[in-house]
Amino acid sequence: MKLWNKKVQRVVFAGIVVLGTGTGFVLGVREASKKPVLKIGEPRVRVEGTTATIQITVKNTSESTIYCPKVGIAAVDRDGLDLDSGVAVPDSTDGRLAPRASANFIGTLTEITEEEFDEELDEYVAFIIDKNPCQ
Amino acid sequence: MTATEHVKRSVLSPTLTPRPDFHITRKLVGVPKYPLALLTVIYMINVSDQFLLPSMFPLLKREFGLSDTGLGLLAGSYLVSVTVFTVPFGVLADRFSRTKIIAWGTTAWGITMIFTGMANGFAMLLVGRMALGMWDPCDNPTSQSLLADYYPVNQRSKVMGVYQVGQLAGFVLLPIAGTMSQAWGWRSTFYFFAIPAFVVAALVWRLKEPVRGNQDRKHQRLEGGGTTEVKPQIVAKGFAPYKGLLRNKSYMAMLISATAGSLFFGGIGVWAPTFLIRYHDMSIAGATSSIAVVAVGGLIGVLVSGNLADYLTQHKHPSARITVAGFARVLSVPFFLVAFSIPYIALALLSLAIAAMFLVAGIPPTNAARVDVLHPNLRGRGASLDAVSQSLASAASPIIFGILSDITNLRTTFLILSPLAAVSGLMLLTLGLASYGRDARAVRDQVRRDHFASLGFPEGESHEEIGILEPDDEPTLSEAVRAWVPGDGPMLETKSLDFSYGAIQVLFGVDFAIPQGGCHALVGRNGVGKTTLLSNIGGLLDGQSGQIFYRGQDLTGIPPDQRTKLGITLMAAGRSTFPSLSVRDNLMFGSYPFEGSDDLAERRLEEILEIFAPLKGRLDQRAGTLSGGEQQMVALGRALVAGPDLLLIDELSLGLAPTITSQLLDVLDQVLEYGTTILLVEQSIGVALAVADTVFFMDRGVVEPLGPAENLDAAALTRRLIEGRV
Repeated sequence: MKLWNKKVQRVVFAGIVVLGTGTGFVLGVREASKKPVLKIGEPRVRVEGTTATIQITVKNTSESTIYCPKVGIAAVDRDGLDLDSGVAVPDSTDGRLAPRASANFIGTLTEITEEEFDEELDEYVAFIIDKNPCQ
Repeated sequence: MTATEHVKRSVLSPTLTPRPDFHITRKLVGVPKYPLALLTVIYMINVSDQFLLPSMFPLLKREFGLSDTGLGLLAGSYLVSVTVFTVPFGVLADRFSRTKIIAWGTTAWGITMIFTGMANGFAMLLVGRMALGMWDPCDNPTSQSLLADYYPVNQRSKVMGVYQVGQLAGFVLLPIAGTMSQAWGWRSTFYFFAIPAFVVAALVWRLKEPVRGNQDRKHQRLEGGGTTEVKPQIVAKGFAPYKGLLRNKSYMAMLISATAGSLFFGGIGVWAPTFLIRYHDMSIAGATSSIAVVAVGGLIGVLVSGNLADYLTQHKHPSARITVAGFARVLSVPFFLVAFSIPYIALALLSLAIAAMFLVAGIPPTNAARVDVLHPNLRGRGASLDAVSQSLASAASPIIFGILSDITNLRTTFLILSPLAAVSGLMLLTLGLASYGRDARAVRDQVRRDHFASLGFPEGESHEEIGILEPDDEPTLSEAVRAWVPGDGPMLETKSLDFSYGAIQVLFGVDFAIPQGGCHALVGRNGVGKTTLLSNIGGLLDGQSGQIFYRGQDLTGIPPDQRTKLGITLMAAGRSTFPSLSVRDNLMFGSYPFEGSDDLAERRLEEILEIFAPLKGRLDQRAGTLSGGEQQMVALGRALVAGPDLLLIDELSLGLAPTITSQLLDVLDQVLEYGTTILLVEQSIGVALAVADTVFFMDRGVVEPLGPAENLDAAALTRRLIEGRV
């Protein structure tokens, strides 16, 4: 009897399908239920000439850890590629985020050309480069 | 009474019924719709999975700190992988079970989605992307080959049109993926998008693998076309098939045409938003969403062109698939030129949508035509080569647009490159049209030779010797029905007819036949499937498998109104009148098959009133207010106005007083004298034996001929009816 016969094929296939479906579902639900520790707000943008100033609020949602996050900002085109990017710095605080506390970060982007502003710029984004728990 | 006996001349005679030549529009029945739906969904999932990762570039870039070069590598690696693996999948599709190839490939692609979701850096993303590109071609070339064997040759364009909707629908899933990523993170989107891949893989595993080339054999009416595995005589190993493809002029014309089309449309897809922003001052979001009109145009295009090409092919234009595709592409050019020239945004978008409609409309007929000119054992390879060529053209196109735009400007680039669509169309209308008929005929000949060789017949018979008609010589179905003579076989025949109401099967491989002329009764208890069988013959229901032949022609998929035009009229059970309409309107309703012959309809109405005298004074009365017997007279009268060749009557005597039944039976005797054939479904053995020439017995979905009515004993038959034995 052939080892890789139709019955074996069917069993292996069914096993992979069931396992795959289950894994996809479990991992999907687990990932979806994860909450980011540092919650980042919508970027607020002010444009003067070809300089964009971006301000964002970051909130520490943890119960006990103090974070000193490194926050990035970028202007992206519709393909998701950066037209310009940089790092935002704390606006008025020292950047230490106590549990449940929020802080404003601000940064500027100066490398975007006028043509890019007109034709390519899709959105401004802010993101956590490093959560960086404070020492 | 038989057809050879004297037929009484009457204005109600079927021979006086004008039956014009008309176009038969078959529904996709008798063939399962499920494989088409499933393969279309798989195509849709394939397209959405293909673009899922690029749509998440911003998120991946932030999480893994990827450079734009890295993102470009991810995009490019997929393309390389697809290009490399499409051709081998084409070979596999020609040699092994296609349903299993798709099932295993789709499973692997589900696993790849999970793997990508688990990525912890660029390397894993790259491997996942390349693996996805590796499995991606398990679907498209294989599915096209499968569809060619699942669905009739004369519906290929329509089927390819529906399949093409999958590609357009795939893009619709991307915004959903975007929303999911925002809400739950990009990883969960990959995990959740893996689930449908596993589900469709399981479903496609259960699909029955059709016999390769069976529809081509059925189309040539080669016996056993649907079931017999035929060993091909063509050389299908090594590079020989590819040499054959390169020598196939019509295939090459379609390949070049599709490549030229992709070379143009690939760039348009990428650059059109920039064009709208640059020349129409649109916002980026507005420009991107405006491109949705292109998708709408494309959707209309694929659905209309498939149907149109099949319609024309059946209407004495055997090369219509090539013609429709070619003209559609050429017609797109003026609209593209307008879209790129005029300053008015609304008109520009409208022109763009119409242009896209024409350009995309070329795809289904071309795919169908490509199948026509390729031997069933070469279709996977043919489609795969075409896919590779198109994907390379689509990849190169935006770069070419970009270079030209830098040299001139974007508008000039669009205008300069628009004629590529015309090149695509003209290639079909010149080289394609010149060689399509010959190449399609060569495939039909090869299929025929394979078939007869497998049966042990010597080669070399001419078409005439084995009775094969070329599509361009073939009469239309309505002509063939008219040309039929009783010596050609039974007037009505069902072969292995199965019918189920959902999970409940009612007809089990019904085989029965009746000759022209006379009354044939079908008796049986309640609920054994008599009405279901009659409804299948009348076209009100469509059997899941099996066939119904009327005057030698397959009625599969022909809607009831067209069956009536062919000469079949069904008188349904119960009081089948329109109760709110007058008696006159009810009767005249029967005249619609010969619309335009008002005089004949009026003469028939007069004759009917002679036969059914009680209706004379009630012409303006609402039918619903008549007695049961009178309503049955109206129903029968309406059926007779249609001048049927074959009259199907369901339970003539149901709920009627014996005297009324007797009157109606007298009318049936008269109808038989006109030359009409009657198939009467009856529960009353007395009624059946009184009027029928032959009797069939039906029980639990199976029909058995009992022979001439005069030889049957009513008491024994009644006993059998009660016991329900076949």
